[in-house]
Amino acid sequence: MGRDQNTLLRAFHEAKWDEEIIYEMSVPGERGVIPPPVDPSIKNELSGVEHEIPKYAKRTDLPNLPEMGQMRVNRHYMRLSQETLGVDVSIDIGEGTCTMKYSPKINEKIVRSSDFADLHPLQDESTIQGILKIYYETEQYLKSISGMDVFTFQPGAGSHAVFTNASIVRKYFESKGDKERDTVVTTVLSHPCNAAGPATAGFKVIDVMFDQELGYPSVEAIQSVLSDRVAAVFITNPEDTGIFNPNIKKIVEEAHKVGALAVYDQANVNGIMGITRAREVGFDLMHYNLHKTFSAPHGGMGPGCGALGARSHLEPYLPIPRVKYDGHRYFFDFDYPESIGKVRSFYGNAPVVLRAYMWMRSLGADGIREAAYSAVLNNQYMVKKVSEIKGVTMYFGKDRQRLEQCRYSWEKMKADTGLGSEDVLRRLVDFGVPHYWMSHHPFFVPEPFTLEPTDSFSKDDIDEYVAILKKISEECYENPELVRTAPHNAPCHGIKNYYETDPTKVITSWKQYLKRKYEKKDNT
Amino acid sequence: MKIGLIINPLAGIGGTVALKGSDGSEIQEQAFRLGAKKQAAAKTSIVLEDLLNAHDSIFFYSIGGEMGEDVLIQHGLKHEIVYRYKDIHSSSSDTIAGAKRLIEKGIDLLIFAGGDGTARDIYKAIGQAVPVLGIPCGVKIHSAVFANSLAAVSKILQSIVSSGAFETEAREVMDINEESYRQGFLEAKKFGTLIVPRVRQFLQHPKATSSYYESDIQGLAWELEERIEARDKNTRYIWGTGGTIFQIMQMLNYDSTLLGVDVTESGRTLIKDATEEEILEKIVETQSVLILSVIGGQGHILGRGNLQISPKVVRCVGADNIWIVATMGKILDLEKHLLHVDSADKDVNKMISGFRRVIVGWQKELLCEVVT
Repeated sequence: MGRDQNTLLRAFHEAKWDEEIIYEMSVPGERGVIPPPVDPSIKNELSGVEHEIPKYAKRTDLPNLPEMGQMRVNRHYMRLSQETLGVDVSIDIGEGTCTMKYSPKINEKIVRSSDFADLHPLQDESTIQGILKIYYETEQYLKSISGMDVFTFQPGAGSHAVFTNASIVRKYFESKGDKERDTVVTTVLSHPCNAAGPATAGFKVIDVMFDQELGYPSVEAIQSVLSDRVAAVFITNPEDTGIFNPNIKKIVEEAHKVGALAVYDQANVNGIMGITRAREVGFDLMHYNLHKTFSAPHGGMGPGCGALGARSHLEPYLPIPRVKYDGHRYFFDFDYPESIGKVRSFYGNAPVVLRAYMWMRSLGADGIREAAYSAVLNNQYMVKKVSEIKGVTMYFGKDRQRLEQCRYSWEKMKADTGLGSEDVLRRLVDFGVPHYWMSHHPFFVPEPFTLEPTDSFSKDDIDEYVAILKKISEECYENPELVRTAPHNAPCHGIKNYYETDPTKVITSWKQYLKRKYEKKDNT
Repeated sequence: MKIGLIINPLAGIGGTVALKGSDGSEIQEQAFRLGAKKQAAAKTSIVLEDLLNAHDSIFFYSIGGEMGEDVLIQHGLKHEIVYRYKDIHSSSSDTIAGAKRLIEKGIDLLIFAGGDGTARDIYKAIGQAVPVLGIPCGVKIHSAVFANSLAAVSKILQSIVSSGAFETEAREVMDINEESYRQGFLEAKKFGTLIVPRVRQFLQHPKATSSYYESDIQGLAWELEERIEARDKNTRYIWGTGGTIFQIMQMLNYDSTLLGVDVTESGRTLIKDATEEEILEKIVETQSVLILSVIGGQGHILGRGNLQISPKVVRCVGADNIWIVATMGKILDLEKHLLHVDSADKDVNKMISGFRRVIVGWQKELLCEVVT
C-alpha cells in the first residue's frame, strides 16, 4: 500500500473540476438563508429609520451578488480546495525563506473559539485583561530570545516592521536635530524590503553588492559607504542564501562609529533562535515575523505580525499604544509624546500574537533552541542530498555552511538541456508537492530555487522531496518533452513559463471581467 | 610554446578623435589629420612586459615592423618574422596574409592586438585552425574573443605557458557597421566563431543589447537632474557614450549624440561629439563631472567605445567627480556583477578600480566592484 518504497515517488493525481465562477452559478431567487420575519413591535419601533440614510448614499437597486443555496456554496468551495496544494496536504519544503512549519491545530481551535474570536478592539481595558496579559508576556519572551529591551506587535507584516523601523530611525535623528543623515545602507541579498521600507520613509538607499566568493558583503565594502550622511544599516542575517555573515558584529560596530543605527531583519530566525541574539551583536532595532518562525500560518499574504524589538534609547519613538502592566492590571499606554504614532489601526493582529504565545509556551526555552537545531540539521542533510542531483549547483560561498535554508541553481542543467528552474517548478505538482520559491528579485543567482526544510519536516519528508527533484532532473536530461509540457496530473495542464503582470491584461474581479467583456463587444 | 603575434598598429586610432572606429584607409587618414596617435603597439608592450619572466619557454612568430617585430625587439623576446608588409602603413590584407603564414609554422596560439575589424580579418584568414586570443585595442570590441583587459591577457598567457596545455571553446566574432555607427545607429552582427582558450573569467562577454524599462531610465534622469541642481552652476559635465546616457540627456532636454561624448554647462550643450582635445580644453580651468555608463554584457566603463575620455581627461576630472549610471538589469547581466576599467594608463585604472557606487535609480545607488 502507499507510495513506491523504492523510488519514494507517489502516483498522484489532483482533482480537476470544470468549476464555474460563482457568479455564473447564480440562480435568481435561490436562497441560502431565509431569515425569520421581523417582529411587528421592532418593525414599529424602527419605522422611518431608513429615511435617515441620505439620498446620495441609498441604493436604488440590489447589489450584484450570486444567489445560491447552502449546499451548492459548500460544494463549490470544497471543489476549489481540492484543486490547491498547501502545507496541510503536502510537503511544503520548497517555500524557502517562508519558514513553513506546522501550525498546531489545537492552536487554531483556540484562536477560533468564541472566547477569543468575539473580542472587540473597542472593548474597555478591564474586560480584555486576558489578551493584554498575552501581549505583555509574549513581549517578555521575545525580549529574552532577542535581548532587546521593548517590543511592539503593531506592524502587520515583516516588511511593515521594516518600514516602521525606518520611520523610527527618521524620528530619532529628527529629535536629535541631525538633519544631514538622509541615507540608508543595505545589502542586495537582504530581503528587498530593507531597501524598499527606508525608501518609502524618504531615505536614499545604497545597496551593497555581495563578495562573489563569500556570498555576503565584505566589511570593507560596507565601510566604504559609511559616513556621517548614513542614518542606519539595514541588514538581514542569515541572508536568503542561508549563509550566516560572520562579520555581522564588526559591521554593526562600523555603523556605530559613524553615528548610524543598526537595524536587524530577523524575519526568519529559525536557524539561530536561542543561539545568537541581536543584543549581543549590538543592534538598535530588529524584527521577527511571528507568522514564520513562531508557527503562525502566513494566511495567504496576511494577516501576519512583524514583532518589532528596540533598545531602550529608541523606546520613546515606538508606535502607540504600548501594552503595560502596573503589578495589578494590564493597560494601554498612550503617553509617548515622541512616538511616530500609529502604523496600523488598533493593536496589530491579535490572533497571530496568540498563536506565537501558545507555540512558545508549549516548547519552552529548551524546545525553542531544539527547533533551531532541528531546522539546521535538516538543512545540512538536504543540502548534501540536493547538491548530489545532476544539474544542481550552489552559487557562491563554496564549502560554506548553509544554516536553515539554501539557494540552489539549475544553471548547469539549463545550459545542458535548455530546461531551468521554471520548468522544474511546473513539473513539481505532478508529484503532489506545491511549487517552490525561486528567489527574491532581482535574481542574483541564475535559475534559482530556495528550499527550507524547517524543524517540522521529517527525514522521510526530505527524502521524498529530494527523490522528486532527482526524478525531474533525470526527466530534463532524458525526456525533456515530458517536463516541457508539464504539469500533467494537475487541474491545469501545459502552463507556460509566463506570468502576466500588465495591469491592463490582468482581471482581478467579476466586475472588472464584465466591464472588459462588454468593452470588447463595443469595440468589435 | 610557439605563439604567433599580430599587431594591427592602427587599431583604436579613431577613438580619441571621436571617429567611432578605425576601419579603412580614409578614416585612418582623417584620424591622423585630427591628431590621433597609434596605441596598439604600446598596449601590446604592456602585455609583453608582464611576460618577461616566462620568456624562456615562449618562441614568437610575428610580422615585420609595427605589426609585431618592433615590440618583440624592444623586450628582447626570441622570435622569427614570417611576413613583411610593403606600404608605409599596414592594412587589412596584411593581417590576413600574415595570419596565414603564421599558422604554417605550427603555432599553439595566435595573439592579436586590435578590435572587431581585426578579429574579422583573423577569422577570414584562419577560421578555426588554431586558438586565438585578442588583446583589446580597438574602438569597438563587441566580439567575445578578447580578454577583459590588458592585465587579463597577461594572466591568461602566464597560466597557459606554465601549464603547457589549455582547453578551448568557440566564441563569437561580432562587428557593427561603422558607417551607420557614425550616423548614430547601432547594429551588431555575428560574423563567425573563433577558437579561444577556455578561461571565461578573463574573457570579454559579447555585448548584450540591453532591454530596459523607460521608468528605469527616467529614475536615472531625475537623480542626475537633482545632483546637477545641487552643484555649482559653473560645473561642466562630460557625458559618456551609449544608449543609457543618450536617453537620459534626451529626457533632460540636452542636445546630445548617441555615440559621441558631449560637454554641457548650466543646462546647455557646449560641445557635441567632442574629441579628447576638445574635452580637455573645456574642463582644464573649471570644476567638472564625468558621467559614465556601463557597456551591457561586458561591464566596461572606460576603455571601450569612449577612448575620447582619455586617461588625461580622467585625471583632470578627478576620481571623486565620476558618476557611473546603469540600470539594475544591466548590472545583473554582468559576469560576477563586476565592472571593468581598461584605459591605456595603469595608474588611472588603479585610481578608478575598487568599490564604486553606481547610480541605479532615483535616490538609489548600488555598490559594485570595479576591476582592471
